[in-house]
Amino acid sequence: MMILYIKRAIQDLRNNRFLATITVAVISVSILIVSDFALFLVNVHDLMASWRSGLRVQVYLERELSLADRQKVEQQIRQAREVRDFRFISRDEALEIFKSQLRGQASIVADLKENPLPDAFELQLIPEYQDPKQIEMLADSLTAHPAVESVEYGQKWLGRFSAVFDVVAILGYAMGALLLMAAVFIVGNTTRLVLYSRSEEVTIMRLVGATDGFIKAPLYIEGVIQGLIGGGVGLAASVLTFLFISSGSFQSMVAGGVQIRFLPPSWIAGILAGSMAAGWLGCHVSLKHIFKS
Amino acid sequence: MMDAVDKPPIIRMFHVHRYFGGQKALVDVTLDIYKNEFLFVSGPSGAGKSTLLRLLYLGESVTEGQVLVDGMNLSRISQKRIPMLRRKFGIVFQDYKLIPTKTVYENVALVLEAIGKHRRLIPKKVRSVLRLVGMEARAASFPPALSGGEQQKVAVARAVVGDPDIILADEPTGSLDSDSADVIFDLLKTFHNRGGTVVVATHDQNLIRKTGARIIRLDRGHLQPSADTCYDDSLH
Repeated sequence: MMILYIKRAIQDLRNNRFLATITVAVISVSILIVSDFALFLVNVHDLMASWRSGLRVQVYLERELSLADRQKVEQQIRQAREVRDFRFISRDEALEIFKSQLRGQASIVADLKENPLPDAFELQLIPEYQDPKQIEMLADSLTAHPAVESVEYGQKWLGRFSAVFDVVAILGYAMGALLLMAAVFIVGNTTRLVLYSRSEEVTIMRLVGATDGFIKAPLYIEGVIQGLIGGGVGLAASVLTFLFISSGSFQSMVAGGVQIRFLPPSWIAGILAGSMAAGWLGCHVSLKHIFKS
Repeated sequence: MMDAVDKPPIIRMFHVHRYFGGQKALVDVTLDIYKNEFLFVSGPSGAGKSTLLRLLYLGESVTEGQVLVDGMNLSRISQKRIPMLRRKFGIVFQDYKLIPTKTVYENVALVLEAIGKHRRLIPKKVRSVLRLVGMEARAASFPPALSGGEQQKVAVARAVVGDPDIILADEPTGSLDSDSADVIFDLLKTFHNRGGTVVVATHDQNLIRKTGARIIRLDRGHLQPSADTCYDDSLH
């Protein structure tokens, strides 16, 4: 029976080529916009992850600190669940590092009468805890210790960037939902037009004993096929976008050393499934309305 | 000879009324139609013949009264069971009601597809029915390319292909010349001779006289009590 339904669905699509083409085109454009946005989100996410992986938290200690106080701070750091690893950097070692970084401009530090740098702990965080809010909470708890002068984790802008990214992501999801709703509406409209153009045929089918399921099944399949083709074309167009932005000069300009990648297979499957679901849903809404009336 | 009325009724109508707003299409019709009967429903235009047929396959529902088809009470039938009821009937319409975008073959095969016949069995069955009505050579044609008589033959083929218990024919020869009308009537007789029940709504007195089957007359929705019922051996 399913083969018969699929054959009828394909025949209907052929008979209503113009409507089907319009529907597929609208779905394609919707999917192109959604998948291009997803491409942007995935790659910006990668970029932020790469920035975060290099993140170090510096805990600067008060001067003239006793060993016992230093050990208390060390104990607190050891107990913090966010910390993957840490090391103590004495002020002398810090100066050496500083000097090595200023190689060629050694005169800048040569005239120093005393080492201005404090003792410090350098912390590396567990990736799951590299969220800006959690880093800030850790920094606050360490700063509260009387032996800690300050906590620096550089790249504070990362938090602000992350907040903007979150807003953009939410806007993206909302836009995706709106576009999918547009696809649902368009497929629903196509189904309605197809049914109106075939109202006599539907009447005859009912008179010869066809069930509503027999009449509806090919239309559902048409909706899903239109969703699948529209989704496929939209994703193919998105591949072209990807090829453009991953081309040499653009890659270095936008990605800051991160290799731009296309959407992962699970995202592609999700977008195609969403597109087919939109086709099915559009058909369902339309049929429910028409068959009820 | 065994009269059809000796057989159990397949259709029963009890005090059936059908109104359209204030318009009375059928008034207090009580009627039995028997298995393997050939029945004419006669009367002038607007008498309620077509309405009576439509009530049987739930093309319309009664305003008052009860209709039973093969034991099914149509007042109590659920929406889901209506297709099952309609599969008991093969319906021939005056305006043929063929799907113009489907070929002759597809129009006839549609019935078998709709009732869930295995697709391997469909071609053989459709070909044999088209051969019976003399339309096998036109299987690939589309209805608009056929004459009225040919279209009605296809409509008869579609009506009988699902092996229904009952054929309902609403003015089946109304728009045909006499030769084509004879062919259609012969096809209905063939179905009847194979054990089927046939109900024909017509005002074609020549056709009725020619056959001599039982006739019921309707006039402005009322069943006439003095229905002139006569029998032709070939129809019982």
